[in-house]
Amino acid sequence: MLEKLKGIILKYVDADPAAVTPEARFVEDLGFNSYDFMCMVGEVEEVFDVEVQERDAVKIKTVQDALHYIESLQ
Amino acid sequence: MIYLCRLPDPFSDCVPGGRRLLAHAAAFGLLEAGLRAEYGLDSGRLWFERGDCGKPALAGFPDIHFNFTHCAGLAACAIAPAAVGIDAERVGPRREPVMKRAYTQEERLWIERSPDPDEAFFRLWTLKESFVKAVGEGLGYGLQRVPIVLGDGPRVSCGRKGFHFSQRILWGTHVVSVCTGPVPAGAADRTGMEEELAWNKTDG
Repeated sequence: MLEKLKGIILKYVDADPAAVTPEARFVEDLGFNSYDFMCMVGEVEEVFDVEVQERDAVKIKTVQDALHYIESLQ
Repeated sequence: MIYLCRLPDPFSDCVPGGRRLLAHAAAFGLLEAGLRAEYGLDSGRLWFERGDCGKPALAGFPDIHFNFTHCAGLAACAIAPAAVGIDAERVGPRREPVMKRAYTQEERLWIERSPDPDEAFFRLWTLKESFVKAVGEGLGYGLQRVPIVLGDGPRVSCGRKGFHFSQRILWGTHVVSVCTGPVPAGAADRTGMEEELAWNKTDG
């Protein structure tokens, strides 16, 4: 699942692929802005066939947070 | 005052992450230059702190507010005597999932009926973002809670008393929006806040 999410992440930010680790923070480490993040959430919904609630999305700070959240929806 | 500079994409694309690093450095450089020009502050003597929701602030100077933004090809910074938020985006194809999540039905209709729906999409997005950044809450505030009304003229309203917006479309490719909150009573400098901050644009 990490590799799949990593592929999505790298479509939205100009980051070093090696930097996309579970511990990486979306804003501080990977350089996401709000728009990139919202777009990525939309693609995550499509690719993983889940529905992300906005109140949950804003609590996701790291790649690991996102993986745990997606797993909890599946 | 609002400070903007255009960023050279080809140069910063040489290394992974280079575009982001260059944009961040440029935005910080604009802040340093602005603080020096407006307040005579030397960046070497400044400390930065973060508010409850992570919004950066200048430690020891509660009357000086600032905010950054950067996107592909542009970095910007706003400095004001009241809460301020700034957001910039390069206009591209509008995205339907974001439309559904962030915009009210009235806003979606306004976008679709606009002569340039993609530009309209980013005009609204940056206005909403500038507001939630001004109040210091970011996306957690809920973008649908910031209904933007754009008239035929230059006036923009979000239904919140004391908040003023300003917007520029630059080079036909980028949209930049700024929101300033109510100026605290007793703030040392109220110049220009009743209408809009001045724009200081640098090419290259």
